[in-house]
Amino acid sequence: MAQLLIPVVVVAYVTGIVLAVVGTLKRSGAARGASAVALGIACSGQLALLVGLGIRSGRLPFSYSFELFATLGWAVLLAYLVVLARFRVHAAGVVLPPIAFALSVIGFWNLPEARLDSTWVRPVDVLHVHIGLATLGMAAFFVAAAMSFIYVLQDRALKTKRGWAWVERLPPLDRADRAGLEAMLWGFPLFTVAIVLGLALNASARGAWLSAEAKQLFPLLAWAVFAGVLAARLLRGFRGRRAAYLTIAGFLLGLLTLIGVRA
Amino acid sequence: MSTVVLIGASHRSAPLEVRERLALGDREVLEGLPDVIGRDGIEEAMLLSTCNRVEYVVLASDPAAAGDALRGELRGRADLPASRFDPCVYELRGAKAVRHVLAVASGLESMVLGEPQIFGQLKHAAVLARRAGTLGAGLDAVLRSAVRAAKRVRTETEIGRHPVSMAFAAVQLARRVFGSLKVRHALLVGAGKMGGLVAAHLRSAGVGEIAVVSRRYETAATAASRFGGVARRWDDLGDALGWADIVVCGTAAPEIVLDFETMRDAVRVRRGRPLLIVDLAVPRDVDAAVQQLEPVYLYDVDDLDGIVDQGRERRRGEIRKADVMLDAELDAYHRRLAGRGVTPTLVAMRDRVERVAETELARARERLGPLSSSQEDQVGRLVRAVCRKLLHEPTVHLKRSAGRRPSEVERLCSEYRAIFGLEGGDPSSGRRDVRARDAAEDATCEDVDGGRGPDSP
Repeated sequence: MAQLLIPVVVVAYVTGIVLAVVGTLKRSGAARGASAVALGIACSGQLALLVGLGIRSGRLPFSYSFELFATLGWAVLLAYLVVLARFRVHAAGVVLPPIAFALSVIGFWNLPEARLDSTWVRPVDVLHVHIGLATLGMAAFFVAAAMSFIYVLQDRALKTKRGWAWVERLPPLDRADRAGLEAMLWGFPLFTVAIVLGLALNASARGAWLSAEAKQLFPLLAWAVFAGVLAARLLRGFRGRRAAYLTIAGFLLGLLTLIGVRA
Repeated sequence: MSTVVLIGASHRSAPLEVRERLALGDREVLEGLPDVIGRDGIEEAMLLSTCNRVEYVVLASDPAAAGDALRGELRGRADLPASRFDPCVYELRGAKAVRHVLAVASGLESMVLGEPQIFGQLKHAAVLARRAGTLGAGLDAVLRSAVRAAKRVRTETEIGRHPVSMAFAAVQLARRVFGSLKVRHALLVGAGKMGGLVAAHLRSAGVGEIAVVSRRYETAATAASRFGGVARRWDDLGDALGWADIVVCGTAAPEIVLDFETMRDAVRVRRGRPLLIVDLAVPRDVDAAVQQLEPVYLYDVDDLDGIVDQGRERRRGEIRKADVMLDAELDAYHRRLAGRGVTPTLVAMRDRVERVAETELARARERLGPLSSSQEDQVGRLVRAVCRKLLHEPTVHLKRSAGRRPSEVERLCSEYRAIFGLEGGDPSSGRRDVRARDAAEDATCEDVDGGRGPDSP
């Protein structure tokens, strides 16, 4: 089944990305629509692959970094499709699906077959819930960061009054801002629960809530940045370029978490 | 064969004082068009009358006479000496006339390149001609091609996309910042003409609410009533700046109206919501330092002019692409026109073959006696398949030749009609002709072979 699905998923990804680029550059509604369909197929196919992986290994596919990459790739693609449906931010198709594809390729390419039979973790575990929620949270932050990046580009072009030609292909400034905020509002609670579970797991395993490991420190820093941005935004109307830069910084900190995850 | 003839004057050929003499209102068009039909071989007619062009588009069997007649009619209406009038008028015939109609519909002939209003105006002219009873299949085919060409040019090129006026540029900017303007608020500071133009464009673009603020409330109220807005007092300016998403400044004040401190306070009240300010005034109404505030986007007349210049350049850059599309649509128009020429012959051929098949089937039934339904079905299929296969090559050949010169197409159709025995008679006499011919053939065979047909043992 995987032998059949993998080429389908790869072709669907590549087709969707190419069509997204064409649709953005040529402003073609047909290309954009076809891109969404192709990426929808890729998302569904990849979910089937992950479920198959889980069934074969007898556990959720979060135990190893490569599985995590593959799952994160799928989650990023799903988050992109959701934000596309909500906000019609087609230009994000030039950024997010390629990232999702790259993560997925890293994950599936490096999946060591021997570990599929490993019983290193029990089938359903608090650790799996922690990793799953953190992955979904990170996927939402991917989208928030991409929208913030687009916001910065639009803002720069509008402020400097240059680059008029390509600016037209980006989503409007306000729409990118709202899409980024909504992604953060989804990702933050998921990430928060993941952080709390992670601290509890650490306390249970090592007798201390915190340890000086990258996989603990970076997510906490990322969480703090997002908490600050969201609080400032919702309570004091903190918006604009600075909010966008901080969102991107928080996301990058979260991304560094992957350094510490077990390989 | 009838030819499309176009005769008229436009902003490119005639000054306004000549064009305004030629322009007609809807009532005059409706009354005048039927008088044109029948004269000098004119079979169909349409008149496009806008502020920038007045053009007759007619279908005429005698293009030269039709052109002269219409030129005379226009000259009479303009009431100008020939030396002044003649250089203003142009005449096109055949493919050139059709191409011109396609270009007009696509906005390529407009004063503002790519403007969309002319498409609606052309459609309106067609409606008037239809109502006057002067629009037939010939001009209808031209108009359909024009609609197709215009839609293609609009969707596949960027000819209509870029701003070519300050007001359009302001609306484009607003869309760049906010996307849909449906729930957005616009504030006009001052009741100047340019500001009003921008407000009208914003209203057309679907902006939610428009408010006008002026030092004199009555002035604001008058300006607001022009585009369904509300007037606000000058003292409310601070609140209004917190309410609005788009601010259009166009006062006649010699000094700065919106200084840095006022705008900083407004930004604080706005809690980070983006604000677009379009300053149309000279000298400027808005302090240039306001541009530094986050997230405020300030554009003055020079900035808008730059956008408009870029827009014009980019539209001009699309002309070649649009020209290719027009040429393709013109070819398609000619093919469709030629195709219509072979259709009656094709229909007649099929009709003839089907009648022969029916006749032979009936004769075969008489000889074979009753057939089962399955046999009936099989025999029917066999006969139809043979007819289809026999007709296939002639049909393809005729259709392919539809693109040749009209005289060649006519000759070819004539030959096919002769081959298939389609000359003269009505369908019923056609059947008698078939039987008569068949009877003659049978008789000839029997005579030759002493009573046996060519296939008899």
